[in-house]
Amino acid sequence: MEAFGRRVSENVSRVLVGKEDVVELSLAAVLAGGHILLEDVPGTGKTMLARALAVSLGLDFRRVQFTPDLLPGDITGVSVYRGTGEDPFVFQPGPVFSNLLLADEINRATPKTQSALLEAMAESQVSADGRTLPLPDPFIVVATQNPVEYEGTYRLPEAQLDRFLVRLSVGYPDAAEEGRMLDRLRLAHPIGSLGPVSGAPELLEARRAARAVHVSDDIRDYVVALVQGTRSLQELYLAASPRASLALQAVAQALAGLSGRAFVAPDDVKRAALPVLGHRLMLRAESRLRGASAAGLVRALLDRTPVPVEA
Amino acid sequence: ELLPLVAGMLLVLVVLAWGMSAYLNDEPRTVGTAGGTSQQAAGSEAAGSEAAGEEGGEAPRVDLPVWMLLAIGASSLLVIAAGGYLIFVVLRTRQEREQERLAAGGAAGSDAVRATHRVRVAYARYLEGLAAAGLGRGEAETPLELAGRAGDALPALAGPANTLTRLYEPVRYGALADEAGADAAEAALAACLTALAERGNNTEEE
Repeated sequence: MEAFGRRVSENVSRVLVGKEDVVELSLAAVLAGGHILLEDVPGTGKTMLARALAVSLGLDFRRVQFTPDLLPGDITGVSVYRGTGEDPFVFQPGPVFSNLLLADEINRATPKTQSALLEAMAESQVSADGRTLPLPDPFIVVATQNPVEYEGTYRLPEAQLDRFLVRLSVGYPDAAEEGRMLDRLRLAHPIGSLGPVSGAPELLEARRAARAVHVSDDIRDYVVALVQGTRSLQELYLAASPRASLALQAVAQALAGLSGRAFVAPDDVKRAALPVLGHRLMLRAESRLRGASAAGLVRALLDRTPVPVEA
Repeated sequence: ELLPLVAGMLLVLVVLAWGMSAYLNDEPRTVGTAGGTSQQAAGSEAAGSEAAGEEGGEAPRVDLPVWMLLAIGASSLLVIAAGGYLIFVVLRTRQEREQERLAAGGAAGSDAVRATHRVRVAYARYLEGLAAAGLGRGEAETPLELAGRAGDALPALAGPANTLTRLYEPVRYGALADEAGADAAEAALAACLTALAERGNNTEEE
């Protein structure tokens, strides 16, 4: 699993310069069997990260640009009248029938269209025309949204945010990274020449290996303590759900596996905490006005939750 | 060990089967004498003279010889005794194998327990040494974070602290311990304590 992770990370890093941490967390989310929400300002490489991941993993990739006039059927698929045979209507599968779906600027679509993704993300299936159709395995949604633009957008509901295993921010590169990026992309963008270094069967095998990474009782209790800790925070009107506990454990397992370890260490949990919990904590309006943030609350929680070590 | 016993039991069973077969073959004739009368009584109305024709003949009774009865009795006792012995032998063998297995597993298990204990004691002594040097662990600090902070504070500690931490984590969070790891952990602890002692001496000299 470590070799698999290194191979994919190095390939993606050919396109996304200096963002090894985000690439590894994305890969951990993919190995944990989850969906990724990339939240950042335009031009930071969100779409490029999704494309590079899909290409590197050798997955079938589709991209949908979410707009206010996008309909649920544009994502899930529609029945088309052919007029021949016993059933003249033939279901035309939508872009959701792919291994990796990039939902670009997901918060620009209406809640109705956003929620069409909900069943697909949660159940890996689509209901259309009274039929339930399974989605391919693996099925990964990478959605992007711009955190600073609110005009003409529809905020993702809490239930849908909870469906994303992690929320990641690519962030601006520092000066050295930006210089390296200019050097590397001067002649041509490497995404065009990027090839697959893995395949869906290898990804599914790596997922099984990630699930087998050992979680000791102490680490499990540490995960529980962190998630329970969010429920006593006065600044929140919605704390982390039990699904968050599962997500935190799964991402920590994947990170441990990618590091070549057969067990989860507290550092894996700490590293996974912000990407997993950050978007699941809903702040009260007055807390937000006082300058509190979900990231700050998670960091404070990590700083006061005892780590299981020798007494 | 059990082959002659099984063969003997089979032989006894054959003798028993033969004896019982002879006895059972004899039984209908014995019963037939008494039953014949009743059958004849019941059948006399229906069959009339036909039944009366058989009334005069009495089936001969075949008694088993005494030696055969004794053989059957002795065989029965032998089979019961042999069966009991067979069960005893099987149970004893199974118990011995289980004890051997537990002894082997226990030896390996006790090695792992001892190694785990040694590594954890080494790490606890490392924490005590750090605390005495003013580098105590914060309760929310992971072993790796602590090793990084200790290494930053005292570069001579960086190597052994990192080694000890790398040996401690699999034991503490992965239940993976062996004697070689325990030896290495104790060596790393000694290096850590030396580095801390040197730091203490330098501080005193200053």
